[in-house]
Amino acid sequence: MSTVVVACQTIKREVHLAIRETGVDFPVILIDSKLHNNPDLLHQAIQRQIDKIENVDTILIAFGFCGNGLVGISSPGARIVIPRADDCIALMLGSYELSKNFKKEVGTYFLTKGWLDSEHNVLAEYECCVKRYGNEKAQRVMKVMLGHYRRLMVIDTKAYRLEDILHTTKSFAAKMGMAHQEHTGSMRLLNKLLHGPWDDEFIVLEPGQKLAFRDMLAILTQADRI
Amino acid sequence: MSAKNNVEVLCVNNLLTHAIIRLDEDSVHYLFKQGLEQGIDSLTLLEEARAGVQKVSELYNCGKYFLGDLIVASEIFQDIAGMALETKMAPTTSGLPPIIFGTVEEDIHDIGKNITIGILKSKGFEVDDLGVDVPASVFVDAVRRTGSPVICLSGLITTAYDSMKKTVSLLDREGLRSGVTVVIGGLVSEEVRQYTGADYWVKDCTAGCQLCDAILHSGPVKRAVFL
Repeated sequence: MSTVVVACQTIKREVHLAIRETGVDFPVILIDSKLHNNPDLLHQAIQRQIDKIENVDTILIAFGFCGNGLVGISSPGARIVIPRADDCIALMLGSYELSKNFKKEVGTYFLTKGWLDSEHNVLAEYECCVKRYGNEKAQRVMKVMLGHYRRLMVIDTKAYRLEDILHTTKSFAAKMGMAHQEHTGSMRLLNKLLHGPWDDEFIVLEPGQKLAFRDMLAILTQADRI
Repeated sequence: MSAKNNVEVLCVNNLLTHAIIRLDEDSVHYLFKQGLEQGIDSLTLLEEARAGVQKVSELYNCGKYFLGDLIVASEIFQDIAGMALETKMAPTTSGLPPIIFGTVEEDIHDIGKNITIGILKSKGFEVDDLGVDVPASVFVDAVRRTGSPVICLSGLITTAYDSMKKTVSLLDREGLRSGVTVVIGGLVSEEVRQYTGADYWVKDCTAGCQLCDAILHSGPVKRAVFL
């Protein structure tokens, strides 16, 4: 039984941690995280990658549904397993329910080192704005961008050294007038993606089957279980 | 208008679009004022500026511009739209009911909503902006209060789909659905439209404005994607 993981570059550290924790030896193919700006392009990139994978029984998708970017994906020769997660925050927190509840509480902006590494992360946005438009205008722009967010939450996934980014994230939160919080993440859902069981927290597509929008919604709207 | 002025119009127009694409606020303000002084209709100038915002939006979508750049382009556009309203040539659409707009419950993303509202206002439409995280009942109250035939539901996250569906269902239960055209915008598709029970879906601010314009002036058109 051969298996390949297709993962978002943003969560590569966490995927590798999950691989170490579970002891599997699946190869990991990373997809460029900046494609998140455009779910259609993200979809095309993931499908292109799947199309290149041959002689594999199972493709594990370490992505959230990411703005419907996964809808329509399929593989002619392999089954595809997708975790129940509207975005990768759920994968970092360990469950979709937890991520949903956090989002309900207050406008929360989540960060990990992986997000800070990506070219178009929110801090890079801010620095670019200051450089291009000056401090005053940059503050105005960031207020439009983050005006409804009250809290910056750094997820400590244990896949990177939290202290390496805390100074940066705290300073950014202070500049934006947001509360700064740390929350311990969990590899539970990623580990389960790697070793199973693929129960109702996963969608399993048989070879040739496409991910339907309704299947995606159905799994997201199941009764809360945790 | 003389041939010379026609040439001047073209020059100003092209420059205005490009100044927005360059995010050059000073040039946009200067060119807009120049255009008005030359007697160019403010709507023509705003349309050229809007084309610039559209291009900036495309550059953002393909990763060449930052989100901050899109916000700046939108702010520059809204500045000159405000200047247009102060002129005698400000567009008017008196008599039309307001377009109801809001980001649905559990969603707080409003950049696309605000850009669309800016363009609608620049064209003289009245907009009843209900803000973000708007419960279904607030949309329904707004329809009752204003008698508006158009309601725009915006959302960028997956949970927004259920909030959109809830809003359409409540309109239905309250007996208001047949009199209201529901447009959904953001990260949406034909499948999302079918799921939510909305009439139209748009992913693009300009298309959303054109759709609202068409509905308000001509009544509901064929139910489909409007791009």
